[in-house]
Amino acid sequence: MIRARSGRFPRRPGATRPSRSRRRAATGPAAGALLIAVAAALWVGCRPEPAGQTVSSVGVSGALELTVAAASSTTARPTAVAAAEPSAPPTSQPSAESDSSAPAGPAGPPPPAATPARVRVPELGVDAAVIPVGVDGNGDVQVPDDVGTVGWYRFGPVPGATGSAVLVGHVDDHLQGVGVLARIGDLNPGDRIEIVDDNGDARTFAVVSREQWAKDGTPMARLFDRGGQPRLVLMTCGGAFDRSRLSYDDNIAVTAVPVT
Amino acid sequence: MRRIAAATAAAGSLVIATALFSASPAAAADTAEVFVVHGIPGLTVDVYVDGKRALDDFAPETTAGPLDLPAGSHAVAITAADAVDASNPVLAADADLAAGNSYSLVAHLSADGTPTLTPYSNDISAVGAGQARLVVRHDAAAPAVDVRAGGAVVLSNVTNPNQGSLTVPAGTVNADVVLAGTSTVAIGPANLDLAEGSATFVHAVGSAADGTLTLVSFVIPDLHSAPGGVPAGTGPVDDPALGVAIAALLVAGVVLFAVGSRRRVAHRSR
Repeated sequence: MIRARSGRFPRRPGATRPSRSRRRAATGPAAGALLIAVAAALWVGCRPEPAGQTVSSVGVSGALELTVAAASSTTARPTAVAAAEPSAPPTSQPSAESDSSAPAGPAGPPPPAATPARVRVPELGVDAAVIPVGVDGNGDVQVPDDVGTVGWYRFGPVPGATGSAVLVGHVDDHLQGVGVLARIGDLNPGDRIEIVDDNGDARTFAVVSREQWAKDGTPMARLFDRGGQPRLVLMTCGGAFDRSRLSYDDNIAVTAVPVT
Repeated sequence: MRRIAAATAAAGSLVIATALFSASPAAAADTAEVFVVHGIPGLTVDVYVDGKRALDDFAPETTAGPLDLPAGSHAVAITAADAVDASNPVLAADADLAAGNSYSLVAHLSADGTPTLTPYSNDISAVGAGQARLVVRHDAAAPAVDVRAGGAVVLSNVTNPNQGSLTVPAGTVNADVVLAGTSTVAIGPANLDLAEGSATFVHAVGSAADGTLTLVSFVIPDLHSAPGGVPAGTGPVDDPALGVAIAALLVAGVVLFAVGSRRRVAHRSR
């Protein structure tokens, strides 16, 4: 009688086992395919996602109205109601909120607007330093290299003065990670932005619009307009990320107006 | 095309008035703006436009304007400061002004020292973001000059009454004027604050022989442009360890697959 050895079944008479070398030959391509599949899965599943957002635009007409100078030349800071869009989502109107942290009454004329030093966006947990920036060698805004720092376009007005004061920051950086302005696409009309200037004076702004464009359609002349009503614009990149150029397709901008 | 018919002045004293012509705020579309530059040393004058006194007691080495004048032809006359009217001008010219344009009328000495009136068109086209325009005009009784910024020649061989223009990054420029092709300083150095989005017009005036060479300037602001774009993101962080792992797996997998396949083929063919 043929006794079965451990792990082996008795062979049928006449049957032949595939030779050991052929079995080895079959495992090579199979193992190779498995490794390639694992590599592909890692590539798809584990690579970090670009931080750029894609958002719907709201409050555009409200933003466009700000390019026209206020009729009354004595108005230093128009109220947010005038600039708020009627069809904005039903968040509370800025003028209706009684913010307990605001001063109880006018203590005198507001201090003159000065160079911004700090920006805070409570809704996003943002509290970042602001530095003056100019243009780079290509004529584009020189966005600060540090993703945690926000740039203020120094050739335009300071926040609170006539015209559009523009703050810019990287949405992300391939060496440093996610930037401090990465989530401005989450802001809605009525959300607050606070600017503290070089003298320590704070100014509060309320968002009136959130917009996104492909970069060749970003309305640079309007966003960097030095006339019209005092307003604050926060800008970063968004949309699809082009890996071949290490660049995003879109810009996202949030416009806000001073609140008293 | 602008035509200037310059009438030569009789030799005599020149005086320029300094009271600004208070034009009614005319629609910008129908008017031209005119700056007046007094570059004749030692003489105060009145300036008449179309027979009416526009500038009263205009002092040398000063500028006036902009005057907003209706587009079209205007008679400009320079008289003594105490003249009662423009009937006996020392310098006179007719200026054809095109709507929406900007001009300078410069009273100055020609290369040989003769008082004269030269019109210039001011370039008020948009200035690139972060930049400033600098225009330098040779309005002095002096030979050809080079203009230097920070010691480097930026405009060369400029002669009376010509001008040169350049665009520079906004900021402070240390400028001087040297005799052309030399490093002999004729005027300066002077620090010029060139504000972003502005055009600065600098006039070299006076007489080299009399030692009265100097610079007289004015600035036209609000010519700025928006920047080209906001490049604000370079993508997610690359994880080098992950990249190496993926690459290693890929290479190993390809090698195993290729070698293994060749073995299978070899076996089958036996």
